[in-house]
Amino acid sequence: MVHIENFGAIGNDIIIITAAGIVLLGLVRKVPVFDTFLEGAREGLAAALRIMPALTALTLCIAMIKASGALDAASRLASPLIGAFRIPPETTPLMLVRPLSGSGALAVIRQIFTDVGPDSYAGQVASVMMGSTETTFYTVAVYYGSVGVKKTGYTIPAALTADLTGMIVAALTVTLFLH
Amino acid sequence: MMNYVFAFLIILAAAWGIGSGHAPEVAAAILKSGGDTVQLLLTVAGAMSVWSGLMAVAEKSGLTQWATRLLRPLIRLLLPGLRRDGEAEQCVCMNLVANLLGLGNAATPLGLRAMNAMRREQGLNDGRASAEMTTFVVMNTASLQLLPTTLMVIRTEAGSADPMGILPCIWLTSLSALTAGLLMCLILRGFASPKN
Repeated sequence: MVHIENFGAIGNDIIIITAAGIVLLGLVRKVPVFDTFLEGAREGLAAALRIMPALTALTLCIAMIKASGALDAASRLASPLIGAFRIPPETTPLMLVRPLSGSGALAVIRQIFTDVGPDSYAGQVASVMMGSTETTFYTVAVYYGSVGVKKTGYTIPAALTADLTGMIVAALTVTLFLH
Repeated sequence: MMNYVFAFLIILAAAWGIGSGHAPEVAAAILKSGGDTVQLLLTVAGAMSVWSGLMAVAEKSGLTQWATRLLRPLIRLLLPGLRRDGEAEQCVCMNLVANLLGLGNAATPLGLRAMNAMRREQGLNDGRASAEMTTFVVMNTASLQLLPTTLMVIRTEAGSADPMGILPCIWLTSLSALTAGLLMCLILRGFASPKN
């Protein structure tokens, strides 16, 4: 296994090299880099404004659900079911929050790391779940919201199938490879 | 579908909050969430603007065309309905590249442009998702990342002795999740349109 002391540094390098590399290549190819950047930035800002309504709706749902305590109750309820797939019970809240909220999931996984450590079985499974799934509802709402699609068809069932598969396979791969 | 998800979450939260004595917290959440969204939007909009700017430069320098050529066989397989070398195909490619590198902030604006280009290319204005749009959104919900940068940072912060040791597990797991999602797309598409 590769051991790297400060992984954050690699992430930083990728970002810096990407940004500088794009500008350098543009310069070499004689692209008016500043003007082109402004055009793109304007478009990005417009795209951000288009996703605002969907973002408002989703933030409202998630804030209400978190405040109501329903998530904690659902975690307790789902725990025995989850044990059947050899998924550690500590990861239940993560599985429930992950499809809804990225920042919520970050808070949950930090808590799991504090409670049982990042290198414990539950900590590793939680990491794999976090790294291999996305905030499904956010993505669906924002992507479709931006083009005015209201009939999402079978998108959500298919996306949730992917999430559920990810959760189960996460426990499976950690058991197989790391234990 | 989003209508039901939205209604279900709001009503569940309201009923549960009142029933379990968390009414003050839920009420506060309703009042606060609008402001929180604006805060979130400011962060997201700034990041999206920066990455869209850089991507515009990358496009004019021919970098995106090069990446598109590299990923084209995969895209043709997954999204057969896209016009060859069209804007949609290029944006889908760049969105994939950004996702693989773990640059979520760059992936979103490109994904949104891809959606917009698909809508124009396919001439859809009836509020229905096309098969290509659905596949593309499912691909984005399954998060195919080679380098989940944020996760590595929190694992390091939490004192992990081997923050990257789980990477092979993550690759295998996201690949399984993506495959399951795409298979489900195929199955459900069969149900949705038996005549095609």
